[in-house]
Amino acid sequence: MDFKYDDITPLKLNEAQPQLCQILYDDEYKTTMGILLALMAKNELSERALAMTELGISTLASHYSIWCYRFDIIKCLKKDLYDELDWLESIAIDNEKNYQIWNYRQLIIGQIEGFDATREFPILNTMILEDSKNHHVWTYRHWLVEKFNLFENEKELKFIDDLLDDDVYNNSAWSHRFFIKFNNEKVDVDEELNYVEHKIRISPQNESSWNYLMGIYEKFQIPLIKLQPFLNEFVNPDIIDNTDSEDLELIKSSFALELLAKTYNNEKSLIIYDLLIAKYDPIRENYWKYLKSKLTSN
Amino acid sequence: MEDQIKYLINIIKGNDFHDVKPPNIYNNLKKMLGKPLVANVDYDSETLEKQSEVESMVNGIYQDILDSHRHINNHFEIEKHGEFVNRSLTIPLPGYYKGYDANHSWMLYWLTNANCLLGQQENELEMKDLIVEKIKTLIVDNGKGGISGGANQLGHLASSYAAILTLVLVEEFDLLKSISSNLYQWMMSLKQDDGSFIMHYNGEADTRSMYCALVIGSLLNLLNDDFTHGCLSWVQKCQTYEGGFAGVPGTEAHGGYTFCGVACFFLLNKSLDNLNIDKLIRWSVARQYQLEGGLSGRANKLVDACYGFWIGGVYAMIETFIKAPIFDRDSLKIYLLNCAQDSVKGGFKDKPNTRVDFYHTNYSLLGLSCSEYNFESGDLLAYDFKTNEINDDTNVSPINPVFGLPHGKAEACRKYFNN
Repeated sequence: MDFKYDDITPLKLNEAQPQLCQILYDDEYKTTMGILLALMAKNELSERALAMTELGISTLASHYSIWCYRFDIIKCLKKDLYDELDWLESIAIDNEKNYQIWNYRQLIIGQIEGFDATREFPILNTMILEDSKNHHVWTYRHWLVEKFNLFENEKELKFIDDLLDDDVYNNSAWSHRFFIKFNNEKVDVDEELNYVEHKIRISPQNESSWNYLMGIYEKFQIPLIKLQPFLNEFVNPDIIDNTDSEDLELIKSSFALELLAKTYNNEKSLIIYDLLIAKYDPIRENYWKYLKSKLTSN
Repeated sequence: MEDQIKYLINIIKGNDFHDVKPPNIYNNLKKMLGKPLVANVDYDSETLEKQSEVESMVNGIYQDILDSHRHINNHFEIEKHGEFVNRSLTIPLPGYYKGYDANHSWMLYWLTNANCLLGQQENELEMKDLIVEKIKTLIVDNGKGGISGGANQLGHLASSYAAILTLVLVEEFDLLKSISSNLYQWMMSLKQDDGSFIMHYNGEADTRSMYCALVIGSLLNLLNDDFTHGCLSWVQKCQTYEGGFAGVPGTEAHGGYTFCGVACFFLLNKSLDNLNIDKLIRWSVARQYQLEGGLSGRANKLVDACYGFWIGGVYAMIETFIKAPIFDRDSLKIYLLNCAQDSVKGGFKDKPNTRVDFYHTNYSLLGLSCSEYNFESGDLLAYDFKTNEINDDTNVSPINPVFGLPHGKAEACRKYFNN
């Protein structure tokens, strides 16, 4: 459908000179944005204005004012909200790092009564498989789970399982898993501990899986001492009394060694921090020294 | 060490500065390139592939420095950076910069701030009129609608934050004063029942928007009980099981959001006893990577020069609290100067294989400052910083890490608004 805008005088973009950070706009951009800003200024909520926002957003998706304007138009004209969601998907795929799209999607869904949240899985899964750590998409997914109570949704759980099977280093997936599992009172903590321990064994030098494990210990106030047998799978504790032993020198995980120091919380911990400084994690020398000083000042 | 001593002796003797070689980074590079004694396992994934690409690129750069005996090197191209910043401010930007058309106030802040960090103060005063003139085009209805990212656009908290910092940089306090009560009303219209602030009408609320609101409120002396109601408890909920802060409660810990979250405590003048400090420290120090020396924004993500400030600023704030150094300053400096600096055209970039931009230039310079000074704080957490040079080879000005401004700027603003 072709709309006429002859009656609209486009607002002039800032082309004052001299001007700091002046952008040399092309004519097409000046016309599109000029008309759009003029329509916005008189708050015209019409079909032609809607068409113009579509053009504006496909030109510059980070132009947040256009999104706000479009939402007002959609509500006023009582447009089909599912059509709007479909259109939004095509914009999302072309603009991975955009803040506005996902907030806008939340606004639209907020207007729909009896929304079936699983309708969102295909687009979300596509976006995440494309960029598995996309912060905006994960934040949206988090909102969806919370709003529609998807904590026990099997597809959701399976999706997270699959992602971690593919890449045990995907911290976004671990973080989402923590959110889903531990906002559910029915969670089986032992099962989760087994799960993460298994993942740690697959690749033991992994910050994400160790953080998850420590997160569980903290949340459920499990005494760290219980971890010792597991930690010994990655570090032979004899290393503390034989710091020069070449046989014991190669460990499987510096995170296990760090936690071992925490479980001891005594002079042995000081030796471990020295080992971390000398052999296993020298970049964090100041941190290990700080932990040593805390331990000795107690 | 020996080179450093010679260098210092030369300075004391008053030798010509240009004949003196800067400190030797040889030993530090050797340390970074040393492999920790942790066994490799047979596992492959997308994360590991991306990480190993960066490692081999950075390893190549550091190895070249060692091999070429240029290792007495950490050269900072101050003139080129100055020219890059000046050029970017004053020469019209090509059409593809229309991608920044909703970010005019950000461009002004990044570049004006970089200018100031490079010590080009005179230059800044010359530009003051142009800066003020442009920001006036972004102020919506005398501040009743906030400050926007471009002329005739909607007011936005982050755009307002960037515009206000720019005015603070050029000390244009009268203009700020004239809009401050309108800005207060506007920000209160963005405040939510749970204590958070939305970015703009119908916009999103997160730790960034709360940080921006508190910075503006603090600088313009607008913080009262209505304004700060619920802020502390909301931001506390954003600390995750990992220890960093997320954008909203329950999502992933992230460098940018962690900076905003931790700075909120300083702006609210609340001690870091109000968060889980041990976990915050542990997560923050894990962001520095052994080989690169640079900082990442999340667990198992790649280093990026901008986190030199987002995480480097968190280190600075933590250090004022625990009163001990917590990260490896020399290694961060080596990453910024040898992997992120464009020594030919000036400016800074994310990684060696990317292009310079305004954003990375500003945050790299701020990060460099975090590596060149140490920080102490007094009773008024956000405004009482003392900064001390660590070595004599500093390249940039000291900063106030809470605001991301050169030291003295936020302090002068506060003084103006408290009188």
